[in-house]
Amino acid sequence: MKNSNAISIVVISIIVIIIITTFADASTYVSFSEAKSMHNAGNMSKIHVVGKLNKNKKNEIKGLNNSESRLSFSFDMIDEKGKKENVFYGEPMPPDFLLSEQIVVIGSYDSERFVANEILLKCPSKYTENNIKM
Amino acid sequence: MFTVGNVGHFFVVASFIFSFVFFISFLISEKSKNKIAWFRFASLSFYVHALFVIGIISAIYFLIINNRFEYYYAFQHSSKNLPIYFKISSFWEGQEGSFLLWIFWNVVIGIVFINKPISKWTTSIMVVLGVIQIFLTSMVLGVVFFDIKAGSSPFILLKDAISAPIFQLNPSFIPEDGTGLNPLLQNYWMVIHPPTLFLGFAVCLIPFSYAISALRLGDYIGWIKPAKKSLIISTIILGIGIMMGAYWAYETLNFGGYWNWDPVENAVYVPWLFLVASFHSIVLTQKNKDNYKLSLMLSILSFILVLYSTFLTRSGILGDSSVHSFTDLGLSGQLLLYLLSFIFISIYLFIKRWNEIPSSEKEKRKYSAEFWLFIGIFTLLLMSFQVIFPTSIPVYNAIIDFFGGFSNIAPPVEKELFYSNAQIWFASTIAVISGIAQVLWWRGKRVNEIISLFSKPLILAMITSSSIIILYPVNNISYMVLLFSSFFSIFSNGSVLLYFIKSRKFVSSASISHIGLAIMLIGILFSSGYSSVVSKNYTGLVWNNDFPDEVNQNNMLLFINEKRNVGKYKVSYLGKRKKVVGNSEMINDNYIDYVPILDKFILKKNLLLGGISFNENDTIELENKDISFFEVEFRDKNNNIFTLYPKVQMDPNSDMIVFSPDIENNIMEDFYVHVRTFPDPEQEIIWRDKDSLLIRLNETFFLNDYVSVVEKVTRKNNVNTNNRFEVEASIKVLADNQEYIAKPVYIIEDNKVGLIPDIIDDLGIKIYLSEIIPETQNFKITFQTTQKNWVIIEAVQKPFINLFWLGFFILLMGLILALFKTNKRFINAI
Repeated sequence: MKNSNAISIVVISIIVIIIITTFADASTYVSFSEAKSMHNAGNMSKIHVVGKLNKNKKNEIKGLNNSESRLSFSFDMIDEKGKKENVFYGEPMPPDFLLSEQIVVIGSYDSERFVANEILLKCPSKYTENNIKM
Repeated sequence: MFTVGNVGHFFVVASFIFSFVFFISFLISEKSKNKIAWFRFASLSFYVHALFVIGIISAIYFLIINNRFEYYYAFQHSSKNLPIYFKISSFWEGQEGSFLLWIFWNVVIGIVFINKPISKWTTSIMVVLGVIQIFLTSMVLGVVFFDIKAGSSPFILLKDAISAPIFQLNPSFIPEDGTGLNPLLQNYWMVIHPPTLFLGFAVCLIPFSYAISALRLGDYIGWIKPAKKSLIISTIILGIGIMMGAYWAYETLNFGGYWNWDPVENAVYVPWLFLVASFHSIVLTQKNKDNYKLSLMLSILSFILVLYSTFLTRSGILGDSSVHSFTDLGLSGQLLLYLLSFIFISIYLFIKRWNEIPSSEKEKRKYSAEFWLFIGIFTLLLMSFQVIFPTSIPVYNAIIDFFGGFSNIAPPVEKELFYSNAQIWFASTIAVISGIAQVLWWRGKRVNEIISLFSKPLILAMITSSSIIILYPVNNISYMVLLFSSFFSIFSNGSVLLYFIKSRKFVSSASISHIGLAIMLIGILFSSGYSSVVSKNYTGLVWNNDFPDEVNQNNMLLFINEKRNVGKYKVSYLGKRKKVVGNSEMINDNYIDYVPILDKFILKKNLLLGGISFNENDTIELENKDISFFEVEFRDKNNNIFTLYPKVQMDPNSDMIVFSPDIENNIMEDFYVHVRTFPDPEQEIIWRDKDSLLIRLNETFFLNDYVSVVEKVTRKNNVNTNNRFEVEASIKVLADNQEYIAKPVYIIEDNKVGLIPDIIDDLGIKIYLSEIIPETQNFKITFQTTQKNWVIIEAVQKPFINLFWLGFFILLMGLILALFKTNKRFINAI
């Protein structure tokens, strides 16, 4: 066998391995109800949920609860299907959390609440809200 | 009307039009009989384009520096009290500015090429540059063609950008101040990192243009030498840009590292690996007159990947998977068009020329350097693939979505582990191959010598790595492999260096770079693999039952002036500090009082700060009143002391609270400390019951166990009304070698008494001057107490992190030497 053929076989098999491990380790985007049923079915894998902060018409954030030491906090999040869920995050609040227009929480349910291991924020390119602070 | 905005927008449109003009003229110059005349005309129109680009940038700076907040770009990215260097960097906080930075560097590159002797290469490169400038300037055009918006202009007015109700009441409203620069970007690295990175992006177009020109002109030999040189330059500049970003992340962000495998980071890491791969490929082509196809493809792909990474980070497609991506400005379609056009042009040229490109069917011998170099190139490509394939998951979802399907795959959850666990094996392979190929390249002439060539480095690497493995101890297989591979690379490349010295040749730049890389790998291995939290909570107390165990175990609660053990140090938190303009020493937050009307601070006592003496009631100016530093003192067994100042910035515009670490750099390890949290200044304080004392002037008394004294009582003389009597007491409180000042005020006006207490925030004491008894010359001091100040810190040790930076500098040195060696005159001179 020629060297170049051997190299191609090795390269192709590594590519296949990379593709397989990527999809094996890949997570999924789900809604809170799907995450809950996954948890109830005993599936402990961590998943992504996309949603928004629970804001009322006056743009006030509801259900936000910062711990006394501010080392952790919990908040209400509404997922893309409109389900509201309390999410706990055991880290200080990310700096631009309150400005976020979209939130992705990565984690899983423990008994009652959703515990996030990581939070990703999509912020409007800073302050594009239709108000100018005076 | 001639407003700055109109003029600026005119510059944008003009620079766009002139990019067309110079592109077409260079194109005509290639075919025309009148080559020189067309080239001159094309150069002239390029210079006009360049002038307009500089005009655009000057106009934006004019708006930012003059605080013209009626313009959206200045309003959105700048504010009045930003120092000038942050005003400079607020220019590239927005997408439009960063595109302009890129456009600017392309102009600089164009000027360099246009001044070279006229050749088919220069002309063809200017043609390629023209296409790129047409696309890039269209990104800031902000013009609507048939309902399709092309680009986003940096010159739109605030009232056109956002429909705030205020503009209906007052259309000519101009906000007082801009919303400022993101506090995370208020860092000097952010002044130089983006320009370097964009210069890196821009220079990638040189090897790309050479490869495209080689295909267009059908000349597959002439491009190699200049392209090789430009590949070295690109690798250097993009490498520096990436490392600056890594250092910024390490120093400013508090996730505790320099690399986070965030999609935005991956998107620049992959093109860099491709640049390295194409450089090695072109070295092979130059020597063997072979592998033309691979070299052409890689040079082209490196730039396409730069475009792809721009698309990933700016189209908003990563929004669900990245911590810091730009938001979609509605430019994703345009970006995609840009990316696809370049891909199709490249594929078209390749198909057209495929059979023409020289190739040889010569089989590479297993013991040849060429064979190993070839393997190394493929390892680099696989290494890149392992990163870019998962990073592109959001793109697959978007594509499936576009064709009406549904896909909900998300990127791997623990991305640090996911990427590091795979990359460590590729890195080990690269290290070993770099050693083998380098030795064979210079010395592998005779097959029977080969075993003796490798035996020494092999034995040395075995001895060194196994003793480190046993002594440190390293107990993870992949770490052991990486350690051995890195040492093998150091010793085998080192043997080539020695060979060069012995045979009196000039140094081998490749060996230096490879050794640098191996040192970097060792640095990464220890600083990441063995980074350890030293602020372990040994108190047995749980900070909060609600916290996950990790938070309770890895953080240390420090009350003010109380010593705690952290690792091998006794640690105490000494209080909040502020930075005074033009002074090297920081000032205790307790010694200054903020006067909102003046927007200045007044000193509460005489003091010496950084060799300058100040008097009581002097006004002082702070560098940034929103930034506080927490003074934390570390004392080891031998009473050696060092002090760290982790900081917090509370951004009033956005309610953002940004913590940044402070780092004690030692030769062997970095000691990295950041504050996790501190008492919320906005939280209401619950005071305990009042307590009173009757004392005389200069009499020592105890205030909540602290030795205190009323140093003086002064009548405030600035009050000229007769019916108002105002007295201020100056009380000194000593606590653990620190002095605090409180200045409560006693007022009588129209027979009514008013008390203004003063609070010593750090000690949690509120002090009133509640009565003055002239007959006995006594004063009544009333006080209330609350919780003392505290911070929760995390301290992390990062062993051998210096090897990471050192290795990079060595790698850089090797590359710079390689650059010099491409110059014939330089080689002849030595």
